[in-house]
Amino acid sequence: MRRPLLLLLLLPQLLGAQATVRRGVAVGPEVALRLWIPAGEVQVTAWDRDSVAVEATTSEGVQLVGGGSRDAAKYAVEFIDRSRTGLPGAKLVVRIPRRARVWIKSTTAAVVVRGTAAELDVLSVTGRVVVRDVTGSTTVEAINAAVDIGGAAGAVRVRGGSGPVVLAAISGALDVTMVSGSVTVAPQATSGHLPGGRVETVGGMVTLSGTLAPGSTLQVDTHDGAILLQVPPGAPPLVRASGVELSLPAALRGRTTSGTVEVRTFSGELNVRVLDGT
Amino acid sequence: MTDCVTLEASIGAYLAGRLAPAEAEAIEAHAASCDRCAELLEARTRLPVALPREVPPPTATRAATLRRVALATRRRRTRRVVLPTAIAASLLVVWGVSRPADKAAMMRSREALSPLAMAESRAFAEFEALATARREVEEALAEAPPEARQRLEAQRDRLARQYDQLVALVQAFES
Repeated sequence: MRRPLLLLLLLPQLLGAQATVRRGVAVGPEVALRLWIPAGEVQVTAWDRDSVAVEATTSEGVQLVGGGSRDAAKYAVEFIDRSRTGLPGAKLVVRIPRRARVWIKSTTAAVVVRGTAAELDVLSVTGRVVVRDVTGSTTVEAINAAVDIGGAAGAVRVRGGSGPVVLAAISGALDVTMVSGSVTVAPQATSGHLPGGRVETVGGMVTLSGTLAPGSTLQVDTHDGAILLQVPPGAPPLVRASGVELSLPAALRGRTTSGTVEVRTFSGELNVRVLDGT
Repeated sequence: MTDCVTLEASIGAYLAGRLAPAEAEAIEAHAASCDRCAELLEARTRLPVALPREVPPPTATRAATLRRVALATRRRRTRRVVLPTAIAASLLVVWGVSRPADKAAMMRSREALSPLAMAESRAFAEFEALATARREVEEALAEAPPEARQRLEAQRDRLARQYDQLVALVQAFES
């Protein structure tokens, strides 16, 4: 009888004691919010209230600090003992006004953002970044993290080293620069169009699926990264290539009313395929 | 091979970014191994440089070194000089470790220290890839016909811009 009771009492220590705190502050609709979470996970969701609500589940020795006012709010996860080295971790669930301007900094924490309508800036070393259904401008800078953006109506800017970048349903201008990370761009579901803009890698593979709206241009630059264009036969983009031999399937030759894909590469390989498998 | 005399003569051009990549790398490599020149470079930029110059020493000395690094990282840095110099020095330390397993272990052991250490560690391979790509383009430029030079120069400039962006990104984790 005593042993199970003892284990129950010791369970928090055995599991690593966690504590959940809730903080909130009334803010203006366009509040500037900064979140700093070294490790763990942060989920940010927009809502239609003029307040910021944070629920933080922290491990022993870790605390959530911060607060705010009408125009600015800031929350950070840090060690209670400031002399400790390492990465303090927590799980944050954050609700913010839809037009809040958000800046998130993570080292290894996973970042998920949904529904924001103003500027979104995310910095990460290795923490995965997922962005869904945003209408403001989005900037993600990640050294070695997977980046997944789906449904972005504003301009999208991604910078980083490695870590795959997957972009889908982007209607704003695209500006992607990676070193070894691959970049995959899929079109919008309704129009089937890829965004215009620029994608650059050093060695990362670039895969584009879809066509471009008339008058739109997408530049692709690689050093030795391979480029794969998967285009529809009905309205293929005009493809211009520099530094590499361009061989178009028969179904894609001839006039087109779609936009233009300009490919430049030092020593990368370019392949163009028709989406029906030809 | 760069010596102290060459570094002193080239320091102005180096800080102004007018040296060729190979020359800049030689300056940084010499500064990483010469205390006097490292101090000179540091004085000229008025910023501290924290260069890990050895395989991690015993715990007490390492803790003291880490405190100095933590203090140094709180000050402002010249993007173009100080951080690339520290990264170049880190590369020299790691390249000096022969076994890949030891190299990986050294990088991973530094990651736990701070977000900046992890950022530097994870960017390591990307800086190597950029340096390799730049060398390839420079070699091609040296032999390129006139009609190809503009395209190659644009490629070289693009790689230089990516390098600066990656430096800035790593530096963003300094605080």
